[in-house]
Amino acid sequence: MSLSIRDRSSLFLLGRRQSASDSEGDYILRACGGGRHAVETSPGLLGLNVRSRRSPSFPFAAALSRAVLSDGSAFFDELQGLASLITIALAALTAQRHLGRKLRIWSVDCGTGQPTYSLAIALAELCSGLDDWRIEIVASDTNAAALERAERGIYTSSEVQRGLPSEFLVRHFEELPAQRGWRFNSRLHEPITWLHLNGVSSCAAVGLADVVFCHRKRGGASPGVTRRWPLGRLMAQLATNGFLILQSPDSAGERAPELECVLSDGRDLAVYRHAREASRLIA
Amino acid sequence: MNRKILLVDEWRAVRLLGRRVLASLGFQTREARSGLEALEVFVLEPDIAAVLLDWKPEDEHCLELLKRVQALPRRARPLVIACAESLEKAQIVAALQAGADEFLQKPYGRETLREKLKQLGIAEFDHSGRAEIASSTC
Repeated sequence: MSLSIRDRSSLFLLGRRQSASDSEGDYILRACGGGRHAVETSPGLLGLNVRSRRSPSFPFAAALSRAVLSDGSAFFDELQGLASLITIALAALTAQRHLGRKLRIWSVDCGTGQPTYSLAIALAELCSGLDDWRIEIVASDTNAAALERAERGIYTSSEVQRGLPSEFLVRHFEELPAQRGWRFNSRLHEPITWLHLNGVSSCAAVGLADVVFCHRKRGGASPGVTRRWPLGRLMAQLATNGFLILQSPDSAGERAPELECVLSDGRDLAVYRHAREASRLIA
Repeated sequence: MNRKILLVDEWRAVRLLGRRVLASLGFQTREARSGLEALEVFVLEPDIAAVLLDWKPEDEHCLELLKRVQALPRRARPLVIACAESLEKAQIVAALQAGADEFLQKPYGRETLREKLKQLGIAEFDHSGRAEIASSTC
């Protein structure tokens, strides 16, 4: 169940029982954004009609709503999946692909980019043994607007504070002037290819991937509605010996018979590989 | 299981905000208006799991608090989140170099703070968002 605005924010501070002094009110107003950023959410959406006494025209509720609402994406929100990628998938694949020293990872349902950038940062920070490998990341989403944001790689202060260690923030992001946010420093990483997939047609544009990492779908969907990925479509892009990581196994459709489950953690994570390859390794 | 967090900030509104957000996450709070007061609280209540510290590099007591925390044995050491009004690279680097474990922009919302506490391993949260498991370092 999604949390209410009150739960997700500190909006209750501004309730009737609170009578913040002017200086405190200004402080909160200033700190909540002060109009520095473009307003994306209208005040009407929240049913609020809060205005600053000193600046009646300032869209306080809109700034607040923007401050507290996002699609729910956080960096490093899929630690189990990332750990599986490194300790299971990459451990096996680097042994198999050491001659070519190339890997392709398909980041499925990348949303506004946080899961994909987390993946890129994790590879840079935790896999020093892969420094001389070419690891290409292909990221896709069915939401064109989200994908456009992801490709820009620019996040607000509140967004970069969700799940991203400050140490990684200063190392992997550039601070934009005039407090316009933070931009992922793509010069430090292999380029990421961004693809808009419509969710119905073939995913052939992705090409073959050694790892298909299907992220948890966030925001946008109606409560209780989970879009299901037909595993066949994901499998079609999976290279021989490749791994399929499903951060929300429930979001995948019918299980393909050629998939062997390598790891399953109830409803939060499942890791698969080709059954044929699994039996060969066991034998 | 310790869920006590020390809030250090000269602004009453910020402490009030922090107290309410932390209470909604299932934490107890202690408050101090300055680095000096924080040092006193810290002596009286050494079982504090984390400190949300108003980052003022010019305040010698703020830096002293960080030094004292750093000097503690690892298991007894509270984690320190330096908090400032803006999220600037220079400030973050300075705070981390001074010994802070993390950096956070004020005012912090419930979700942001929850993510930060979770990221630092101070607590895990149940589906309602309340802290349910304090880490062994607390």
